Amino acid sequence: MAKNTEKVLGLIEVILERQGKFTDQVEIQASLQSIGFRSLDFSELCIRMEEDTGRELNFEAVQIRKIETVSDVCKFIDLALKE
Amino acid sequence: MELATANQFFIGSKGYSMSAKQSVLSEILIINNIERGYKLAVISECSKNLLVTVLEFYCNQSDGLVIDKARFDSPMQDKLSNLGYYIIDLDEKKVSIPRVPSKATRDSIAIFTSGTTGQPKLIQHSWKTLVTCKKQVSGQSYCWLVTYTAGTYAWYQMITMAMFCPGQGIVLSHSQNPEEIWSSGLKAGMTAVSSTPTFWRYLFVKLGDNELIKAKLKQITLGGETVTQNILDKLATLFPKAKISHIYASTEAGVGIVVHDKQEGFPLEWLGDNKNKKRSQVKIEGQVLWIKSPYASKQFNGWYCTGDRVSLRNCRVIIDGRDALDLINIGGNKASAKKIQDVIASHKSVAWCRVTAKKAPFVGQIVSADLVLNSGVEEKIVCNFEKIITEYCKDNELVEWMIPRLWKFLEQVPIDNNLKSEL
Repeated sequence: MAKNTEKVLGLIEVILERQGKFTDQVEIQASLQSIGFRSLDFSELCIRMEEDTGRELNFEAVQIRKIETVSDVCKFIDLALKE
Repeated sequence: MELATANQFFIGSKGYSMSAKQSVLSEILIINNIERGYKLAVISECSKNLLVTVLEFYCNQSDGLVIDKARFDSPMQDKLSNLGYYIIDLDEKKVSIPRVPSKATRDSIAIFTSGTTGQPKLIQHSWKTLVTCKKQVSGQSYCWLVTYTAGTYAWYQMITMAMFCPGQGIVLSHSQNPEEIWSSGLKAGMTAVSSTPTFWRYLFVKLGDNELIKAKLKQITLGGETVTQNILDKLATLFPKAKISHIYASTEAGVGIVVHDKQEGFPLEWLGDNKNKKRSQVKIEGQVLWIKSPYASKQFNGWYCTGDRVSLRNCRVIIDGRDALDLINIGGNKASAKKIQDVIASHKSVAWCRVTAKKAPFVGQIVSADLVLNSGVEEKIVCNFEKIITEYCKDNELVEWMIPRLWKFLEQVPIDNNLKSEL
């Protein structure tokens, strides 16, 4: 499991819940499309992660590939937070 | 122009006559052997001393500038020295002599712009261009609370009104804290207030309606920032007997638009109305407001591009704000910060709101909002407010990308030295 999974899952739930899109617990294997998690949500998640951790995400360090599931998001954040 | 010497200015409940007799400046000029007839820049933290200095400028036909010490910085000092101004600190009784002193020009008053949109610029006015409200207050007697920082264009509007318009008293405060300024006004029996909308929003939260209605106001004037319908409505409810006006002005263009009908913006028919040359003219070019005012600075005589974007709504021209600052680009979709702000501010629990762009990965920018909630909002609403206001934005026709993603709840309305909160 990626290091920041719990935090990322919590933030995804907050973001979706605020928009009235999703109220159940988010599953790690869920596809982003099925839970209505879009690029704007992803963008917000990144900013909130930066604020939470006090560190800037390094997007250049991440090999961008298709991000389709919640698990992909967690891995992406983990890589972007690596030194 | 004749001085209205019967007018008074108040510090607390103590009244003083409009006279230059108590001038600290004269004393400093004599001690330092400085001849009159040169450009003078006078700084002080005492608004009374600065007012008396302005009176002295008028009586001695000096060419000068006054500025509140809290605003005075090194770039201003350098600029004034290079232009040949003597810089006189009334509090320390110190004089800074320029390398090449500049001869005074008759009937000239210099004013630094507020610097809201960059470095403050030095703008030249005359007594005639500074007295803008003679007609509006003619036959009326008011005691005005001065909320503006000494030396700004809006401050000069108040000071020159008290100098030249009979029946107009003013209340000065040594503080820049809105609550203390308000308290000075109450002590002196103010009947009129001229301020920014932010000044009121701050007081709505800090003092509450019951405290505010203790003031028996006959006139409320708003300026310095965009005036929205909700602030006009709120003031009209609190002060049903007061005349409420809003003014669109800038240090460069002078007073351009004065509206008294308690509606935001101004009537569409004012565009292109060029019949009365003594009144300001307005036009729109490329969605931006242009003004030609008889009160413009000498340097900006003619049409002046305000840089403020406007839109048309219900036969009114609505001023949406600074062109460059107002647009937020969210993944290629452009949203007006003002439009979003207006929706949020119309929620009954919101006392103040500021919408800005925040740099964001993937989409370039996302919308961020700072909020102050009204005092007395229930705890369960406060806890759930991000969701409540998001729903409210949706119900009020903001599409998904326009709705703020980051919400910051502040304890009080942030306020700068000019009593503004806008960027």
